[in-house]
Amino acid sequence: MKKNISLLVAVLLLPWLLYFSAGQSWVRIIDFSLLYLMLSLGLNVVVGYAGLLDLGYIAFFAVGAYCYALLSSPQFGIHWPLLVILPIGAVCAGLFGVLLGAPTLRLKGDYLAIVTLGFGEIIRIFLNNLSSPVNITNGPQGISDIDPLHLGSIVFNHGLVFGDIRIPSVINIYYLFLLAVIITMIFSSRLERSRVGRAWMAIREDELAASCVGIHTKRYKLLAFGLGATMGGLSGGLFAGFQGFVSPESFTLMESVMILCMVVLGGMGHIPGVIVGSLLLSILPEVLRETAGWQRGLFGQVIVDPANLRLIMFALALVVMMLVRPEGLIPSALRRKEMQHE
Amino acid sequence: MNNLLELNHVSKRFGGLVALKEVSMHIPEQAIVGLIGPNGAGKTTLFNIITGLYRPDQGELLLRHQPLPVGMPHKIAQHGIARTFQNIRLFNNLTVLENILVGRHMRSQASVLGAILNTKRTRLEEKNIREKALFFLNYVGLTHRAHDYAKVLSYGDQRRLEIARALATEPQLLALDEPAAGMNIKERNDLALLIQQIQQDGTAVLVIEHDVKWIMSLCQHITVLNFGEVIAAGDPHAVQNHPKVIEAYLGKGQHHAA
Amino acid sequence: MSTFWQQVVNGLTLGSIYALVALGYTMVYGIMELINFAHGDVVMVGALIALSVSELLIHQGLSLPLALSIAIMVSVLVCMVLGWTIEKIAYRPLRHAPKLAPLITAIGLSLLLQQIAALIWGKSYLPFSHTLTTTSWSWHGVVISALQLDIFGLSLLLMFLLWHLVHHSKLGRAMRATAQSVAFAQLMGVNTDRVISQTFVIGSALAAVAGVMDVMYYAVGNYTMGFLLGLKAFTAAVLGGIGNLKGAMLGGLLLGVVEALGAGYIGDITHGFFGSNYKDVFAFLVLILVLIFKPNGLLGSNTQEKV
Ligand SMILES: Nc1ncnc2c1ncn2[C@@H]1O[C@H](COP(=O)(O)OP(=O)(O)OP(=O)(O)O)[C@@H](O)[C@H]1O
Ligand SMILES: [Mg+2]
Repeated sequence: MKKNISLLVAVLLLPWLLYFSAGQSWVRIIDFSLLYLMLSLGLNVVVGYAGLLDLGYIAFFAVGAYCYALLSSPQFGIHWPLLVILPIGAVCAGLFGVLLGAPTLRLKGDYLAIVTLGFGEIIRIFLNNLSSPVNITNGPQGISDIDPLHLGSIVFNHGLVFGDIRIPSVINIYYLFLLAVIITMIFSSRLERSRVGRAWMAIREDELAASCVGIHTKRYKLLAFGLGATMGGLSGGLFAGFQGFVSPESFTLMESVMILCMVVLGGMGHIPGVIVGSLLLSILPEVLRETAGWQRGLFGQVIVDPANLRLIMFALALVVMMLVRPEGLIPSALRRKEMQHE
Repeated sequence: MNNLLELNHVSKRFGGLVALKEVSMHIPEQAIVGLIGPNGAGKTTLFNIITGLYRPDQGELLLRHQPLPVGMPHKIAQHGIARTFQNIRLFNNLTVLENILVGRHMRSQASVLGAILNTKRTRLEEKNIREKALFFLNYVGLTHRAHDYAKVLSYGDQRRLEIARALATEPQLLALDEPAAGMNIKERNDLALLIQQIQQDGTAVLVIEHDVKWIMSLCQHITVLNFGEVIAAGDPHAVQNHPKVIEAYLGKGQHHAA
Repeated sequence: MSTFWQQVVNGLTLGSIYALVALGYTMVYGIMELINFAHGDVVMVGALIALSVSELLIHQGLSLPLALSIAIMVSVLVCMVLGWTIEKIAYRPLRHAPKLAPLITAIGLSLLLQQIAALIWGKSYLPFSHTLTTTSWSWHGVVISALQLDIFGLSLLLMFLLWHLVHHSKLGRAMRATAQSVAFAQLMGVNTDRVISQTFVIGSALAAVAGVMDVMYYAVGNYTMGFLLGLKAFTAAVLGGIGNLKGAMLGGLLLGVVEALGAGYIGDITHGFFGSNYKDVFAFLVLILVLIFKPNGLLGSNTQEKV
């Protein structure tokens, strides 16, 4: 318990430390990595628990983001409150998850992967092109001037002033996202240890044997798709409100793949692994932005295009980490040990 | 005695191969019934039809005189038929205890909402599931392995775990596909005792086994399949001396030698 | 009607490129059940190497056909080495790892190849400036260029050779045995490590040729070109039934034709509501429909799982 409280304090203080040491851009990076963490937790339900390889997961993030964008921007002149549109976005994404999941229930492993990938691409192509003849998504330009995240008169995207203390906007957002992440985390850890979670894992391990102990495998697979998508949709809404702008470019296959990497790299199927994986992979590319500086330090000049070098190092890191720890950085065997000592 | 399960004229083809041909058999309540036959006779196929993994091409299955839903394994499990597999199918990356917890699935109700809100009802149910799971773990003598991965168990323990998982669904009929395969004599004897215990506790058992001696001493009733057809059925003694059975097991012309 | 046949011709050309790439995916999948995500990028490397080498040689005064032939050979060789290396360092150590681990290294490699290519060739689109041939034949309004015929013919030839290799050679037998069961093939004395290596090498060689064709056909190359091409080829492999050689060929050709027809007709069918910018939707839509009705692909066996 004591450990948990000190962890909580550390997590609450973190943005302030970053803000004063590294500056506001780093807090912003952490804000985004919290969104990634939420996405990874959602995908973990689908891939980690139920064992369904989904390569189009970013589509649900997109659905949530566009729901928010359309219902709270000048695009249609609708400006509904946050507490209405976030749930709408989450539910829409969840429905999409079930809808796209339904026809794939009979598919196995990699067939499922490619079909989900196809669905993801289809949704992106539609977002890209639904600007004519009726302009819904505004095409590749995307939707801008989206209302900020706000509850009544509290606008998270702006700084807040309490007496003498001024909380910068990035830190507001941090706390908001942190709250969302913690809620998602509590939900998924409870699911993991429940009858539902066990049914998912049974399906992951052996679908046929699972059905022979009375698990309605199709229903539970749909449930995983739906719940995973709901979490994706929720974080999509937060993303839209945070950025104030969405466009199809943010929802490419590469993003789906990235989130999958986050889930697998840390050690899929359990939450600590997912946390490590998503924080690592969302922060690493930002650290690697410094490659220009490193080169100047080493060679006195920039030899290799820093943007390239950054991605090369990222790719190498991905390969090497997987080769060194194929079970994930925090394999679930550790968790087992802990469970025994409970 | 009343019949728990009745099969009438069940047939199954795979392409040109007739795996089962007009098979009729019945399993009385609380009996131990043996199913024997040479390799490829169709024993496992019959299991797969009973447990809903395959759809029969024709014929009917009656559980206490009610038709069983065909081709829906989870429904059939809910009707009270549980099974093990010839090539053990455990949830390998779950612990022994978790494997049995999964077996309690259909004896519990917790939904997503109940789970994420962690309601009192869910917590009570979860406690109950664990108690029951520990009971079945103890029943097959695996309590000391509760927190090991299923995949690290020895062969014999894996078979026992699979039986425990099936028992955890509290079935009326337990179907065991070659549970004694690969076991040594002591393990076989223990297994026979376990099966008898299961019967005494009120569950009918259907067992496939190649070791004729072992199964003869265990079962009250035996059905013999050969090339997809029932060639003999009845009490062990009658079946053992049935000319067709001797022929099937020893080949033509060996009649007298047997 | 002539538009229709014209689109079929264009589709078959495109489809034969898809098919060559799809064969690489399907061979690797058939043997190791691994989606070699980096395969599309091998195609890209093959394409860009051929582009550079041929430009260089033509600059040195070699004739176009000679320059091209050398370029193809160079890029096939480089890609074979690349395929061999990829398998050796990124997949072999993970043979017994959890199933998703090699998928992640594959993704990493794909990104790596793209970025290295961007370093070497830059990020802009590289034109292939030499018109290969102006010869073309017209028949009832349907135009077929010599290039299209070359692409189609060479693809068929390569597919035939591969078919022959797999079904009538010692290596082919070893490959099929390994695909059935690695453990069993080893028992029968097959050096499965070598077979897997060779599968990667052969697949990469086909990928290189496909890359060259793509660059000739569209007269342009870029470090990202392998992505969509690879994706579609993989789609084609799945469409035909992954692991199945005939399936990959059929799937590739079919996908090419469907895509060409879709792009040509979607405007008319939807009265202009959807334009040809939805053409990529077709590939996936067909895939999804086929898999819903035939979960193992067109030529995949639909047998019941043995329990
Ligand atoms: N899914 C399937 N597809 C095609 N053929 C099958 C399938 N399942 C079983 N068969 C065939 O049906 C026949 C009966 O097989 P089955 O597994 O029922 O035999 P068995 O009596 O259990 O034999 P064993 O003692 O070897 O386990 C065999 O010839 C087998 O090859
Ligand atoms: Mg059998």
